Amino acid sequence: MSERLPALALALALPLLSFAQDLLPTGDAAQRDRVEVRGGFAYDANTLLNELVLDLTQGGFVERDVRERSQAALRSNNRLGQVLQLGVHAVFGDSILGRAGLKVMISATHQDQAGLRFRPDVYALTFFGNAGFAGQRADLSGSAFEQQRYQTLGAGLYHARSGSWVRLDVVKGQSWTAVHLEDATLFTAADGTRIDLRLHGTYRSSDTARSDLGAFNGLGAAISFAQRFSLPTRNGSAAHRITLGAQDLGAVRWNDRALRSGPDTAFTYDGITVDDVFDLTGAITGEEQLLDTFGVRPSAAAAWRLLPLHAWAEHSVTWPTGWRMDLRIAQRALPGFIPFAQLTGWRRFGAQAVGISAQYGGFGGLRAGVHGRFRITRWLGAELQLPNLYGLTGPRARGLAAQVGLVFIP
Amino acid sequence: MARVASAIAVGGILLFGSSGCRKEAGPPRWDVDLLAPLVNTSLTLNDVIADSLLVTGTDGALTLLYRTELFGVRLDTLLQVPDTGITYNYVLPIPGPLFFAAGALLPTDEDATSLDLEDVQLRTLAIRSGTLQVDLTNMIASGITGTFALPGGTFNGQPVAVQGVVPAGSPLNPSFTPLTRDLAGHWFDLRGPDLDQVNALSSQITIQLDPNGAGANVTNLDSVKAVATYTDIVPQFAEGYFGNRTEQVGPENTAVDLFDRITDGLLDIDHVEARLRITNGVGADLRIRIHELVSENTRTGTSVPLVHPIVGSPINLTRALDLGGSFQSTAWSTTLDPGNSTIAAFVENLPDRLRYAVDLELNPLGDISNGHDFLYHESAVSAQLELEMPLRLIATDLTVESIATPDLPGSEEAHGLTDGTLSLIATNGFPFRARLLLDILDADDQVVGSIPVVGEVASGEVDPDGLVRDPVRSVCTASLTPQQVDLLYAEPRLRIRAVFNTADQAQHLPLMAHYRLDLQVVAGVNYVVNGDE
Repeated sequence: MSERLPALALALALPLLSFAQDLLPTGDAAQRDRVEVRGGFAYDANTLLNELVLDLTQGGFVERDVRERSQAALRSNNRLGQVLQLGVHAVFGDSILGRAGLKVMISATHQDQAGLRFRPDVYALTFFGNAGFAGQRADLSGSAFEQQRYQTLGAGLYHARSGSWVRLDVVKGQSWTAVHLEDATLFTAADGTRIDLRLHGTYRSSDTARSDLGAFNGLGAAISFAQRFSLPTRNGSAAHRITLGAQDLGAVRWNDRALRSGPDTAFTYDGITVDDVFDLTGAITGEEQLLDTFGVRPSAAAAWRLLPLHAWAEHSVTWPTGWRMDLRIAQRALPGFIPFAQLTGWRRFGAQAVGISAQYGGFGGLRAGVHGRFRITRWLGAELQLPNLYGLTGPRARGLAAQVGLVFIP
Repeated sequence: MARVASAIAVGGILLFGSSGCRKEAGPPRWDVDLLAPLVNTSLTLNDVIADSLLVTGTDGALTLLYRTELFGVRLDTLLQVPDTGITYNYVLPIPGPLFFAAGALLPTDEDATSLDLEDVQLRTLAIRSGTLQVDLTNMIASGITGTFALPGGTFNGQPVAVQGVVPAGSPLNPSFTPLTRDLAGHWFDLRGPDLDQVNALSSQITIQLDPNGAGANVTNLDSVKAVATYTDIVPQFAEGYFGNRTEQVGPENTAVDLFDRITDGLLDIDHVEARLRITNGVGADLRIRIHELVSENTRTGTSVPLVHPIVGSPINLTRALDLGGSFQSTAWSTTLDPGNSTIAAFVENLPDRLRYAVDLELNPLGDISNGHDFLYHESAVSAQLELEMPLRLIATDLTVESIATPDLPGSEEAHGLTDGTLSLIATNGFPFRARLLLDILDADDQVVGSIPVVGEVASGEVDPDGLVRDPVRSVCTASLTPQQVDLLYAEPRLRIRAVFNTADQAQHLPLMAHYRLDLQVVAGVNYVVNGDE
């Protein structure tokens, strides 16, 4: 386990909130034409231990003690989420329609984002079953999950002098799953003779027949932008810059094979009723009867769904001495994601820059990280960010996050 | 069970198991302990005995009323008309050649063939179904018209004839024409041309050369042949003298489904009464002799013969009454009870079949109807056994059996269900206590494993009158080991046997219409999520 953890992190991880930032070291001219390649994965949780998530990710049997350790760490509200983003972005040109300084931006990305918030009883039911709730009521209310996978292809304008940009994307919906338990409780009688279920919630999904990368289950559009303002400065004093941005402000129309179930029901289940006691054949599971009994048989219809919008505001202060401080506030439209704040301090060494950060929120708690931006050659820059060092300390830590990126400057 | 697990774990599978790359270890799996009701059912006597067999008295006590046909003798035993053929063959009696002009008639042949009906002497026969086929063969060098008339037959009151044309032929190359006629609805007078015979089927064959032809030279090598065949004749009505003969019926068995669900044990009934009713729908006197009537339980191999004066003694039935187009049966009946017979032991043997051997003697006094015996297609001699049994009984290890094929999630190779406990929660309103036996059977019904059941279903609380005052709740448990679960997947047939004993083994206890046994099966199992994949 301990070997797998850093290996997985280094190989796959990307930070949650890095994608609107410059890849080049601070101070490099933003006016240059360039191609940026970014990719990676980030996962964060405020309570679950990494060992559980890694076991679930890698498959195989998840031992009971692993599940129990994460259960012991649960709080009343628990959150976790993941963001997988891969993309190629190109910025080029001198002017557009005679307006100097405007560049063309072209972008293609793959997105896989998921968020979850859950109560401890959801965890207990999921990983230990309902037998432990004999004579008790499990409260599942407020739990929610959403995962969207989609690809974007877009073009936009890049303002070289300010670094502001706007881009319009066409979105191909790959898959979507959303569960929201607004009010849900499950009571198991002490002797198991009765289960009382209160269920008010929704289940939605794209066409379940196909959900791989090639699946085309929906079509939509989104706009993304970043607006940067430089505050007036005096000579020799620190430069202040404010950025307001949003990514994937848009929606997808999932096709007419999308599924929806919205039960709002309360009932007592005491077993499948069998008319003929001498004919129990097929009655042991009664799969179809259960679907009807629970009222969760979904229906198919097209559905619109907003993309998991990511919005942020950032204040950067750059001192002439080579120091820089970034304060970033962000939010994602995913269950379990709370407002995220990150404070990063940078120090530039020639063409290179390194930084340390402290952050709180998002899917996780308080964590610290290191960042590096390197100019490797005249035409190649690179970035490595490890915003959650604690997550790399072992299987009983929380969260995994790293980002690698390359920028090519012709 | 899989769906119960899925319902509970669906969030987890979606939420915790949806991301990232999976290696060769397959999907993530973990075990959960599930506790859920599986099946909810109830048992009343109507589940064991069909509603139509139960009669509820004013006091709510139930009486079983069961009827079955002990034996029946129908038309095919009393009268069978064999397939009958008649051949007509015309050959010139001299060497010839002799010229026959167009339209010339060959000599007509008129015949009365006797139906082979053994001792039966029929005067009238109405046909329900059957066929007459006439095959005409012509070797004369002229076309012919063949007419096959049935002088004794009528159809809707009209004479009956079959006619057909046969092209010219030769001895080396005869021509052939088949003719058929459906005989349904035809009536035949079988008394012959002079009305003084029986079983006589008259026919008349006429051959005429083609009137539009050129005539033909005929030698003694040329001939015309007609073969008439009556096949598959089923009478609708027959009249005559059916003879003095004896038909043996059996030894044969008739199935009894009354105790189908009971596979073992003893039943002691307080009282039973049976009525044997024999009806005669044949227009002939009958003498019936029942040689044996035996209750057979093939599961236990026990046989109990009925002892009663009717067994071995003649039973005389007068003839049915002809109503002209229909008939009215005559009937004979007798009552069997524990005082005059072994009927109680006969029933307590829990027979699944009755064996009987019977003789039927027709017209034991001879032709007293002067040839006016009759029968219709619907005529039958039938014996009905009607059993009336108040349900007051003592049951000792009375075993009811059912075999279920559980629809288990997963497969023999991969299943998430590992082990667990099944609890049977019974609220019993019957004056029986019951033990449960669970066995796993292979395809040949051989027991390959047993699941021990702890506890028994307690009897309802019985008051001094033998009536259940209050239902009693009890719990039985059956633990499923991983080995038993694997066996259940390999041989997915579960035999469930319930062994009943009445609460008071010294007293016959009545069964009331409102008695019921409520059953609920609860499973507490260990289940591996994704283990069915």
